[in-house]
This record gives sequence, structure tokens and C-alpha cells, in this order.
Amino acid sequence: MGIMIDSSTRVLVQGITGTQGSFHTRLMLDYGTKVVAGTSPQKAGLEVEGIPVYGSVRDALAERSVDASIVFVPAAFARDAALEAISNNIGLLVVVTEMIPVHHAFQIKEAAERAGVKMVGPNTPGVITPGKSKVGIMPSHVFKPGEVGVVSRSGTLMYEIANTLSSAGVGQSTCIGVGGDRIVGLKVADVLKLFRDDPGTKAITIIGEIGGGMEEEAAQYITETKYPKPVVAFIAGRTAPPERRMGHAGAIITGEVGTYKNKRDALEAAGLEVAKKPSEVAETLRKVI
Amino acid sequence: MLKAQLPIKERLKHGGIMKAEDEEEVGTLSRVLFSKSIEGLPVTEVLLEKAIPFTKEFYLAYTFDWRKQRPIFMFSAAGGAGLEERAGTGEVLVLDADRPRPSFVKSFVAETKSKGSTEGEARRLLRVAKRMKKLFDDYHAETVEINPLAADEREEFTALDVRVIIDNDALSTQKALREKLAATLQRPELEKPTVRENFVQLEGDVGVIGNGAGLVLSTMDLVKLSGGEPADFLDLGGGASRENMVQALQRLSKIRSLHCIVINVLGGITRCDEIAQGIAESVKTLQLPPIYVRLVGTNEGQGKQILGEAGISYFDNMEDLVASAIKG
Repeated sequence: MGIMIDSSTRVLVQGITGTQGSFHTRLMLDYGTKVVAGTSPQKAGLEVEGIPVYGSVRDALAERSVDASIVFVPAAFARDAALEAISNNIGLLVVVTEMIPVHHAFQIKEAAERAGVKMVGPNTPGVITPGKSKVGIMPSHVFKPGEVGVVSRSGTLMYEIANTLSSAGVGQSTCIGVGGDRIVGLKVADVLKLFRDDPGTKAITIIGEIGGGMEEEAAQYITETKYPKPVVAFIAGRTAPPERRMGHAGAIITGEVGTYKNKRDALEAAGLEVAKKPSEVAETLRKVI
Repeated sequence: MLKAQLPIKERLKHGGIMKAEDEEEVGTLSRVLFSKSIEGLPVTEVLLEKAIPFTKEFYLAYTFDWRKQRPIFMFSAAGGAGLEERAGTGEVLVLDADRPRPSFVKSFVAETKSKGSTEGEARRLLRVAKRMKKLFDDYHAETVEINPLAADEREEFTALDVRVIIDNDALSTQKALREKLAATLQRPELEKPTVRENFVQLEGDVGVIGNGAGLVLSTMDLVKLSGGEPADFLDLGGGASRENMVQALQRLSKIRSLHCIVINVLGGITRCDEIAQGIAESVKTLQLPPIYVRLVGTNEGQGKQILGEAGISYFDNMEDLVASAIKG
């Protein structure tokens, strides 16, 4: 099982003719993802890796059925691409593009919520259901099929922890990077909600980092809903000083909220184990499963 | 009034705003201001304007609530210095900026009238707010704030201090604004579409480099847990080349008295052989402290071979990496 995607998910690649778009289309196909179409405004009629390219989402949908779209379109045009997917009712939208202006990110998020579209990102590595499908840019080899759901605010740290889990024999049901920006579609708590109803997910790992309030929100959600599955967390950035932007726009500490301590305290108060090192996540998970 | 023209908040608190009683004092106080640096920025321009007597100070702002991930409007009938500290006390009205216009107007007018404004004043405040919203949207601002908007006895408004923060990621599409900002803020780098800042220098003596913000942050955390102090945060980003690696080490070679450098790379789109070549090349040409490398992922075998030939120790696991570096 797993959430959001499986081997039958049909994927549209928006911006398929770009360097990133075509490169990752190849890797997604290699992994077994059912990529069925791509878009590129000026290059309709071409093929990329054997996949037909259309001038617009509407044109693609006239010939192909699509369940999910992944956006590689450059930041200046990403909003229009994302809105086009949303207005055509594609149920899952994964926005890989980084450096999208926050006003645009907000407009995409609002439109997605109104239309009932699940939006992942922007600035996300995407979603992978190991062994079945990936709609994203993550290195596949670190993921192994299994029963632990992973939701992460960071890309490489998700790879790192998935790698330690896989080597310790702890496979994953689905791994999702929610995106490193300040405004993102699905938040950590939203993903917990999806994992809750998935019979294939027995436990969950939250990979957080300083800044924002998503971990605190997740802790509140776990407490309020008496979350039925064990959750283990890891938070990066205990040594980072406040008010400094450390890579991710989302990772700025302002005031009390968003500090390492605030997040750890909130998660522990919700009954979670917070691992001190990436390698401890696997050990802790083995204890709770 | 003399006001240092600097892009910082709370200028009054930092001594950037002064009041002169006569012409002579204008001279002495401007000399004081021009000799100052505030928050690391030297004062190069001072605005001289008539002191305006006012009876009320309002606070108006459009900004984002990053927790709720929404644009908001904030208003207080008691603006002025120190408002930030009173933000949570109920003195500040917070409205959803995207709320439908009639409901927005209703809440706003009710609030201002309850704080002693006339209907006319409330309407005029609303006009100011409307124009601020246009600025906020048109220029992709993260914040547009007037504090205070002063009103005199005749209910004339003057914006005594204004702060606008533009979203860096929206600058690439705003050429005219970019050029203007680069010129007035004397920051020529703003003219080029920005790349995300990926280096922050810290106090410690263990250099840290990695690919991906989360991975670098957790490497810094491990350094600290093992008894060391990180000297920096340096994120190579995705798909870093040999040149990027060389530039990163050049950057760290300028920090004196580093005890060691730890490099943590988990290659996805980043290729380990590129990273290894960059390291091997830098070790020959730069003055560097001992380097410890963790290198796994794409083209890992080639990468390790290059490091081995250059006599650089490498690890498969980030915890072994940091432990060895600190013991080193």
C-alpha cells in the first residue's frame, strides 16, 4: 500500500523538455513510474524519452488520462503551470520548482485547496512509494518497500534517514518531502492524516527542521486526534542561530516559535520519541513497531 | 528630525533617529549620525525633515503569517515604537488580508471607531490600507508597514516611518525595481537575479560542508553533540560540480584557525566523482586543515578512488565521519 501514488498512477510532466524535466522523466520511467505525457508550450508534437509532448495540460488530457502532475517549469512561469493543472482537476500536484515567489505560492495553494487538489511543494523532492512509483527527483536506491511512512521538510535529510532505515531493514510505505519553502501545499499534519488511513503504514517518521510551525502543528494534531500509530521524529538545526537564513527559506527562526527546543518540547509532550541522531530513528522505530 | 536612511527596523531604538532643536544642532547631530554604523551598516544618507506635531499614531501593515501561511493585515490605533512587543496583547487587530472586501471594511471600521476614530477617519485609514495592499501585491512584498501613521489635530496623515520588504525570489521578474534597489541600497549584487544564500559563518572551529540544507544542519548538530563547534553552514545545493566544491573550500580556507573540515555528501543528482575531484584539487592548491569526507550515492566508487589516490580519508556514515573528525 502507501499513500498518494502507486504503480497505477498516471503522471504528467509539466516542463518535460527542460534539463531537469527530461532527466527526471528518464529516472522516473526507469523506476517504473507510469509517465504518460508531458507539456511544453513551444514544443508540442515532440517526444521526450518516448513520452508525447503537448502544448498545454488541456491538450494532454484530451488524449491521455492523468492522475498526478509534476511541475519542473522555471520559477517565473511555475504559477501558471500549476494553476493550469489545478483548473483541469488533476488530483495530485507535485511542484519541484524552487524560488517561486511567495505571493505565487500562496495563489497556487489557495486554488489547490478550493479545488480539492493535493499539492506537494514547492521546492520538494516529491513523493515515492518504494518499489512501485516515484513522482519526484529523489535518488531511488536509498528507499526500500516496507511499512514506515516518512514525511520530511528536507530533501537530502529524507534520503539520509531513508538510507539508514533501509540498511537497518526498516522499509518505507511512502516517503514525502513537503518542501522547503515558507508556503507549501500539504503540511506535515496533513500527511499524518493520510498515513492514518493507510493500512500499509504501521508507523511514521517526521523529519523536521528549525523554522516555521509545522512540527508544533503536527504535535497538536497527534494529541487532539489521539493518533493511533506510533510516530518518531528527528529535528535538524539545534545548533543554528536565530534570524539567519540557512538554505531553506522555511528554516528561519523568528522568536520562540520554530526553535529546536520549542519543536522538541511540543513533540515530546505529544508522546513522541525525538531521536538525537539520524541513526537513532531506525532503532527507535524498531522498538515501537 | 534627522533620520538615517537604512533598511532596518526600529531605527529609533538603534539611535538612527534624532531630533534637533535648532540649526546648529542639525549640524552636530548629522555629524554624529554620519559617523555611525547601525546593525553593521554605515550611515551614508540622512533624511532631514520638519518635526510634525501629531495627536495620534496608527500602525498599519500587510505581511504574511508564516505559521498559517496566509497574508494578513494588522492594525493598531496605538502605533509607534515598541509595538512589536505589544503584538499579542489584543491592541493589534489582525485580519485575513484576502477576506472579502465588505467583511474586511466592516471589521476595520468597527475596530477604529471603538478606539476613538470618527467614521471619516476610519474611511480615510481604509484608503491608506487599500493603497498599501496594492503595493504589497504589485511588488511582491513580504511586508508593507507604516509605523507610525501620524494624525495631527486636523486629522491630516503623515507616514513617519515605512518599511517594505520585497520577496527575494520575486526580484528576478522586477527589473526596474531591482536596479533601483541596487542603486539606493548600494548593493550591486541585487541587480543580478538572486541565488539563495548558502553560506553562513558561525563562531566555532569545525568547518562544515554538505549538500542540502537539512543534511548540513544535522551535520552541524552532530558536530556539536560530539563536543565540537561548527564554524559555518555551507550548502552545496543540488547537482554541485567540481568547481562548486573548489569554491566552497576556497571560502573555508579564508577562515583562520579551523581545526578540521567535514564534508558530508549524499549524492542524488550530485555526483560523487565531481565532489571528489574538487576536493583532491583543492587539497593540492589551498592551505587547508585536515579534511574528513563522507561520500555516498551516485558514482560513489569513482569518487572514493579519487579520494584514496589523493590520500584523503573517507567514510560511509555521517556519524563515523563526525566522530573521527572531532577526535582527529
